[in-house]
Amino acid sequence: MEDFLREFHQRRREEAMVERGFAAWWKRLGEWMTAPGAAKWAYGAGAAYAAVMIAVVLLPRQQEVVSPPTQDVEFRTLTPVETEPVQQLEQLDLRPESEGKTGEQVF
Amino acid sequence: MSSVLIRCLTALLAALVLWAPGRALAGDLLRVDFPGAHGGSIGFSVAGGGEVLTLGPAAAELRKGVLRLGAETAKVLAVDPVSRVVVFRGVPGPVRGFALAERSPSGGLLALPSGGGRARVEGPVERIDGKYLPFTLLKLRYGGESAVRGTPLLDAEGRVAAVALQASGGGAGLAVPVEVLARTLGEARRNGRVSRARLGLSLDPSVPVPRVRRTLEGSPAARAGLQAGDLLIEIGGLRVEDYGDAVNAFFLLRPGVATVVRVRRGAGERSIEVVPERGEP
Repeated sequence: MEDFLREFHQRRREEAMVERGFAAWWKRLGEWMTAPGAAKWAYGAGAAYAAVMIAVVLLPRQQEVVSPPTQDVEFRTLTPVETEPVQQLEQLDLRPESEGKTGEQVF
Repeated sequence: MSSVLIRCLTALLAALVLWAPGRALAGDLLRVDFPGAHGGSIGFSVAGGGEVLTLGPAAAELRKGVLRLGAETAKVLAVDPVSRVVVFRGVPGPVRGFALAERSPSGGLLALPSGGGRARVEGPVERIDGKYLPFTLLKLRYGGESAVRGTPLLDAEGRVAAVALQASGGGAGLAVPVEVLARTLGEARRNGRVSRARLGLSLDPSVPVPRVRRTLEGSPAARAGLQAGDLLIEIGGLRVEDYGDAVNAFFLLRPGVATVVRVRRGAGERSIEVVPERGEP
């Protein structure tokens, strides 16, 4: 009976010590964070970034979208060809040096 | 035996065809001078009014043409600066005149009136050196010496089917078709001058198909209902397949005379009657 009580109290003390240790650690952390100091923002940001990256790495990924098979398409690049302007004579002048009107003609 | 008979009949038929234009002339040939121009022209009298037709050397010289009739000279009635056709007033007194054929040939033989040879029609000419002509000429191949400018070229019935324009070397030559002569003569007889027929639509020579680019506001074409994009199929009874055909058909239209223009619009075809207005030659 005495052994049982001793063991019971010993287990209670160990649990109390564990609880006090974690609470004390959390308390010290809170006090440290609330204390003034610019370096603490950098630690906080780094911790937040690390947490996000851990989440990104550890979270299960969605199934990748499989693209349909592509088809080979033949294509060619068309280069505009410079064409000579087409002339029309106003009069029946067949001399080589005679000029005509080019472009849109009105009739 | 049969082949010999066929050959004889063929030779006889050819002789009859070629002999017909060589008969006595139905009209008179006259000499026409254009002062300042190199060389003269041949003029020929026309049945019906006795006028003398010829082709001048250049538009600037046409009005200066002199037709000598013995001691007298005939006056110029009308000139067409585009085709260079010159019409002299009717020669006084009874004259023999050439009849004009209804249309020019697309092939076959034409005869020179002086009995100086014949020319084979090789086909129409719409462009020279990349330039569209104001109307379609005929390409000839002379059997002998090429004809002097203005010389009438006669069909098998002795009618004028074309007029020699100029030689182009190697026995080849160009001629003005009778449709152009008839149009000019008709304008000269009716109005005493030559004018153009104007529809008021435009085409683009760089596009091979005769498609209307636009119509001028208030023009005969616009009033008749022709529209941009219409594809011209027929003008005044002449089938048109390309820009050159359309230019030639427009040239032959007469102002004030209703003509039918057939077009393809969308999936259908329609005929549109247009009355061309008078324009400057």
